[in-house]
Amino acid sequence: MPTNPDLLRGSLEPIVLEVIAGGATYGYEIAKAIGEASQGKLLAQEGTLYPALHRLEKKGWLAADWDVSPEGRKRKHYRLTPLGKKQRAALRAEWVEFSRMVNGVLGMERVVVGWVS
Amino acid sequence: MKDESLPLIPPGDHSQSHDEIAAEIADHLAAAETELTKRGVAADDAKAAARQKFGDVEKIQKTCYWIQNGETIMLRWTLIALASALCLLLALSVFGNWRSQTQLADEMGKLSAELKAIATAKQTPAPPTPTQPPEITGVVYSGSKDKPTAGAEVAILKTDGTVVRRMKCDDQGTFRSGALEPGDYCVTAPISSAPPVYSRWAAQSQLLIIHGGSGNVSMALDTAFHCGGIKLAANRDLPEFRKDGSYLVTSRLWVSVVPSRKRSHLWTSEQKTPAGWPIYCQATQEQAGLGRMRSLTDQEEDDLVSGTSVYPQLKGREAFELPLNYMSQTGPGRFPTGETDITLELLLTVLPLDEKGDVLLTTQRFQDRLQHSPIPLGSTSFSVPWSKLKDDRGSMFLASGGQIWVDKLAGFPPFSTDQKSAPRSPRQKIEIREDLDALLEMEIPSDLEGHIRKAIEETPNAAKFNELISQGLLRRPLKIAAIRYEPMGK
Repeated sequence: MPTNPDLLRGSLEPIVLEVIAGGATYGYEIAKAIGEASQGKLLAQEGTLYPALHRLEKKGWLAADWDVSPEGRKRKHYRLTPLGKKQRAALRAEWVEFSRMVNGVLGMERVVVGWVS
Repeated sequence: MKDESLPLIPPGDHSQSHDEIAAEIADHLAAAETELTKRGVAADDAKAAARQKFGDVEKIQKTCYWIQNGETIMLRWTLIALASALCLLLALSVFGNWRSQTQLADEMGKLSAELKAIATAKQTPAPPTPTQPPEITGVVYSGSKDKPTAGAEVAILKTDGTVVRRMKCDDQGTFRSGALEPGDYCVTAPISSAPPVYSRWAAQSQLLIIHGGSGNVSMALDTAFHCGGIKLAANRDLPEFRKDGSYLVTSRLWVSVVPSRKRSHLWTSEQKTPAGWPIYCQATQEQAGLGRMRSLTDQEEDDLVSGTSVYPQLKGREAFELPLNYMSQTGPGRFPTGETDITLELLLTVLPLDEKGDVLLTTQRFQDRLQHSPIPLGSTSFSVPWSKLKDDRGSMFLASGGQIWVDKLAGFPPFSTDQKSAPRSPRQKIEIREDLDALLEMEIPSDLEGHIRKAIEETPNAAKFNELISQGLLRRPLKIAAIRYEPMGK
């Protein structure tokens, strides 16, 4: 099932932050982690990852260092900055609230109104 | 597929950012290709599959470039545009200047001629603007501003006490000082609605500062005498006991009341600034000293001016209103409102008794011989009657020829003859209000008499003490500071 690009646009940056926080550091590795986690449904085109990475770097949420891959290629490694860590936490909370709200609207979540003893 | 929405990367721009983006994407494609190859995909197919999975390389590269450098590029183009506009403006300006040169030369010629005419014309200096010397204007009222004091005599004083102007208020209670030199001033006016004791007193205003350019200083002076009363109560009667054939001990209360807004003299800048204004003071230095009451045993002259001494035989907790302590006048004491220092002391007086049991009052005219006068048995008063003092005004009476200052009995150390070591009772503050009498409560130790008797008869100084009594030479108070008080309402 192809992912709606409108839905992906707003959620890609939090996903990237999560994946980097999970240990992925360079472009292909990050793309692969996202693909595996979503059974290939997110990031149908891996190239769309890079604008997100560069936006996050420009905002100061990510920092990058250059290294050399085992095959001898130049490789750019990303890591979360302290600001990025804060933003990640904030985005997680926002996402939980947002998804709960959307689920509620879509009738996919029931509100508990009482206790059963 | 090419994206036309973004400008192309400038040709020949091989900045680090551009190269880095290309290297990063190349690494991605190579890594994907390697992984596909490891899975057994043919090299060409793997390369094609990796690029397909990646998407439009050129578009993504361009997008990343603009994310990283868009602001810088936009700024660069803006600066170029601004520089171009400036160059154009400069060119137009040069051209315009060239055209206006001829016209300007003509105008300059005309202006030179006009300036020459102005310079040669006779100029008359502008008359100086008259400056009005500053003065003090004000209103004098009694209690509230709708009660002006018509005809009140107002004095303008410098803060060293020098009177520089005297005048009377008009029917509206207002006055104008007239021109004054720069300096610090005060205004005084007789206090109104005051008890007779204060008939010669004045209300003195706060400091008024006049300096060059200050303009007129306006003020208002309330001359009403705002005052309140003070009541005293004790936990028991004041001590009194006798040893027949030897001595009689009587006691009295000494109260010092020093209101912060009452002064014996005019306030001057050399004195401490009062806590509140106006203050009540004797209007002129010449009057200072009049009206003081001098008790034979009061030592603190400063307190006498603003304070009072009372000699009540307090009975139990019955509240006793501090009386007026002024000459021969009677009535309740009235003290200015506001912060007031209070000192309470219990003074015990040891009176020698003669062989008949009568009290011997020993008086001494200044530089004269001792005179022994008996006081009738049972009398608790030890003061020389005012009528007698009045006849001898100008003479100094001492209550005793003895110079012993028994300074401290409360803690019952050995008697001391060192006057300087006499402790002063602590002053405490109360707030006097117009609508409420301040209540001072004093606590007298229950066995005070026993302690006194023991101190007189059993201390190392007892022999000397008894000798002085027998000679009728001991007539000084023993100060007892075992007193506490609490203002009413707390």
